[in-house]
Amino acid sequence: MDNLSQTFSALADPTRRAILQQLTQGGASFTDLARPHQISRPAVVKHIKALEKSGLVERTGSATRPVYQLSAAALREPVDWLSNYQQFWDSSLDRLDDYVREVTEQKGGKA
Amino acid sequence: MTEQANEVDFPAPEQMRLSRWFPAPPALLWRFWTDPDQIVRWFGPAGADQRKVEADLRVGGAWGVDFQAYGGLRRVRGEYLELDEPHRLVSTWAWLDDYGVKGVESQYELALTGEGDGVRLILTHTLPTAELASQHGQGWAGSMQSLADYVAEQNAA
Repeated sequence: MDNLSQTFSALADPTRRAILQQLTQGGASFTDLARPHQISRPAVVKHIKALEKSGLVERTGSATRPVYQLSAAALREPVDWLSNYQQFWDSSLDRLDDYVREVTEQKGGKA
Repeated sequence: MTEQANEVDFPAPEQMRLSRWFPAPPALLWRFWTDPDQIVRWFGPAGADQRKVEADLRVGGAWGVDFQAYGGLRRVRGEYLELDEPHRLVSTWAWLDDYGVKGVESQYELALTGEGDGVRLILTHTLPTAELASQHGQGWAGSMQSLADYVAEQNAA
């Protein structure tokens, strides 16, 4: 699986997205991350490991007191992917709209 | 001169959706979207130039657009998967690199529905991955926005 697919795969789970959302507020300990979720601690561990594997989350701090943080570099790829297509289609549809108006006006409002 | 704005949302983590109303019947939009002589008039990002378009409009038929943009030749290729004139079109989508090798294949769906005196165009562009097929994110737009903001902040820092 290429990097981008792996990133999207990590993003596809609601618990993992909630964890990423928590981390947009800054680095957090495992206890902080696990607190809001109605699932077992091993399940939270699994999700955090999946996020680490995808590169979306980095572990810093000491071995006994790890701190989890978002990795901006890994997030850039999916955000770029979507925003590139958004820009591409935005411009295309703007130009299509101008063209449609040009053609329909020439024909007196009827195409 | 543009009176309508594109409405954008992200229904799933791997999906971008644009919605826009045009003052024309669905059949005209369908022709503009599928006829190479019309596609050359509008397709591409801001500043796109020197477009060359080929399209074999049948299920399984190939299409391709070459254009100059961002200071170089850009080439996109696809294959029509579903054609329901003038309402729905599904196609694959892949960029060619400088050596003509296809990149990651995505897919888009065009939906045209009569609305008032015109047509509502809804374009959904999706990155297909097997893992995502059965999982759709709820309320993704908000998450995507905050992640995008976060990335922007990190880039600025």
